[in-house]
Amino acid sequence: MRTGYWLAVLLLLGAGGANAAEERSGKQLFTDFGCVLCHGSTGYRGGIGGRPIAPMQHSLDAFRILVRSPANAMPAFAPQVLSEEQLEKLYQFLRSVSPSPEVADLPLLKSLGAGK
Amino acid sequence: MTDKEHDTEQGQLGRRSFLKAVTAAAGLGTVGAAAHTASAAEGAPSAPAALPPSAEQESREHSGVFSYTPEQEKRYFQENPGSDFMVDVIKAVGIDYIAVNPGTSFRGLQESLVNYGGNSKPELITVNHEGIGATIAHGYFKAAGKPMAVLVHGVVGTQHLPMAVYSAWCDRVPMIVLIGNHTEPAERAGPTDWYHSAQDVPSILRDFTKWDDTCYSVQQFSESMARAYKIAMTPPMGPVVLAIDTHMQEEPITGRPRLPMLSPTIPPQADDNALRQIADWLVAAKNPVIVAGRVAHNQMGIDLLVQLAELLQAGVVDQRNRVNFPTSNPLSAGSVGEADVILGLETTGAVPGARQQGKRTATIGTGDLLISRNVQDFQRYAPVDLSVAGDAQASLPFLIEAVKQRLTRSSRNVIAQRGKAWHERWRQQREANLNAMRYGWNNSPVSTGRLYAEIWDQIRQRDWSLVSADIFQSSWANKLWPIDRYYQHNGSSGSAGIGYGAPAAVGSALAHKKNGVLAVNVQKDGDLMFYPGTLWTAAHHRVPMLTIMHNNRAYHAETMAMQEMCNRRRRGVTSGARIATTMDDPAIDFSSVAKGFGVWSSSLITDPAQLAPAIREALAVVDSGRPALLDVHCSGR
Repeated sequence: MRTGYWLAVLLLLGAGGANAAEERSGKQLFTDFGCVLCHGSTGYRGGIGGRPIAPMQHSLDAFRILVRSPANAMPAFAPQVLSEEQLEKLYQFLRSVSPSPEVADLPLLKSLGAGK
Repeated sequence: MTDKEHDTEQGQLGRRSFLKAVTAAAGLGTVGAAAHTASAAEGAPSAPAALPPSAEQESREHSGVFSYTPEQEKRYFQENPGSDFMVDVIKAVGIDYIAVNPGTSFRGLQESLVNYGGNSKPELITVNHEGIGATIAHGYFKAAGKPMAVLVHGVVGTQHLPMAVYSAWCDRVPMIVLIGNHTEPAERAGPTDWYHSAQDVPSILRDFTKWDDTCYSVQQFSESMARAYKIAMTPPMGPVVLAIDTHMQEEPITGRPRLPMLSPTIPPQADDNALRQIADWLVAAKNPVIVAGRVAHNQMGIDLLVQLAELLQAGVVDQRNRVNFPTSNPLSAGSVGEADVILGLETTGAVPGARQQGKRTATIGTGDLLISRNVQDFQRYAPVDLSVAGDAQASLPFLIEAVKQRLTRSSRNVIAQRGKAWHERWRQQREANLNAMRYGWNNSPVSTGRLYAEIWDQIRQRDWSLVSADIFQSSWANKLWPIDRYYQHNGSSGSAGIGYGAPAAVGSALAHKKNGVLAVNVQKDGDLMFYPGTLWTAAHHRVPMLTIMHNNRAYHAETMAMQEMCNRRRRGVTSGARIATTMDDPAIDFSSVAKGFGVWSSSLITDPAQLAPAIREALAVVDSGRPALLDVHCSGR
């Protein structure tokens, strides 16, 4: 009986989760799946230091490998928790992000770089 | 009528009214609590709270004499209390500040510090938690180079201390903890004194303090205070504890015991022959690298390390527990990756890169001279080719001379080439870091890179000190600010614990106050929530300090750790990481928190374009001698 109860709860949660996820934008998924924790609100960071992941320069296949089976400190997102559809939404979001301004366009950083 | 006369008259009337009430009650034959209740119910005059005067007092009242008899005076009033002499001792060793949260077990000493000592050198710093006091002392030492004392109340005050004292232990920071204790059971006034007392109260801190003593006489206190100061300040430095008996503080003393003569200990220098061996290895090396832990005790330590590194053109890996090496010096781009000889100076535990194939490693340090039997801050065992006991800064002059004697014309040419390589690496690192700083430049929440760039822009023309660690903000200051002087950065807590940031910053700012150095504290939100009352201490003591909140609304490192756990277990990926790691429901309004404690603040900053004008406004407040806080909603790191 207890098993049946939990199964029902899980099914309900799963169904609700899937429906909610379908409605979520790539940007929302980026927050919900915790990508934002290491990569900043728009993917401008490459984890703990490193180059930004947005605007995404890699192909979808390369992105899939990086998300499903990363070789670095990044946690892997298995298909059971991040669907293929969600992964593609994330990819499209990261491709749509505008690049950050260049150092040459930021007087503050230019002066900091010059040691002033 | 003077206030005193008025009080006396009020007192007389009170007593007479009391006598009337007692007489009336006696006439009714009411005795005991039950009868009292009955008379109150009947509307009879209720008994006053004060006790009736004794027959002796009544007799004096009728005779018009309102003072104690000479015998009573002798019993009650105190002349020459032991704690006055204790103040002389504390002044003699040169303590400038004592952090205190009041407690009756040291009321004698507290009164003497205020009225006999004039509350100056030492001045009492009021704190709302003993952990705040000890951590203020931690930060103060790292900026002032001298220890503070912390005065705490028996068992109940001391048990608030361990985390703060443990951080000081790990960070090799001296402080003197004074614990009031009702040591003699016969002197305890009641149950509370018993709750607050212990047979061996320093034992609460013994796992991570260098030395302790329990003082029963002021002469003992005199010697133990000098010894405590000396032990705390001898490398490897650390906290020490003195339990100070309440009775000892409050009882009068006859005559004047001896004041202590402070005899500072010259730090131990490493063995000459061992240093010559290290010099041989360094000069013969193709690529020597120096790893610096807690080397520098002051600016001289930095200057000596620069001298050694430049003689050898050796790269330096500064672990940033202190400022050991200037970030503007290109040799700061050191890395052990391609080193063939590694010299570890006051490193804790394994030296990075040590014992890898083809690498020779030597260490100079005092770590082996101070090991806890219990806590494990000593880290992993460090297998090295040559381990030399000695204070690194004290050993550097001899090592530098030994290196100089071994340099030849041909070795100087090789060394010069090595320097060019480090210079190029340093330039490339800076360029990469600047490039990384621009990412998310206009984002909201504000990127930590933008935050540090904007702060720098407002302080670069001033004499400043970053009184907080930047490790949880991607180490932006250490990557890009020119941190070249010893006082310009404090490093971290030492224990990687939490709750250190705010009070340590206030302690450092307190030390910088007299020199006019601008103290800048980039404050982690989760850290401030441990000891928010620190802000009140800053306001109360008019400690000028600019605090800028790195408010990411989370214990962010733990959020990331939880995210990894959820992913590995393939469950709760979208929710589990945020439970018990975040502080966004409700988001904490740190501006209101600050204002509530008397610290100036403006409204929450979410747009990075607001930063520059807000920092300017806050700096004007700091320039007026008061603390200011800006709450900035920031990215995670």
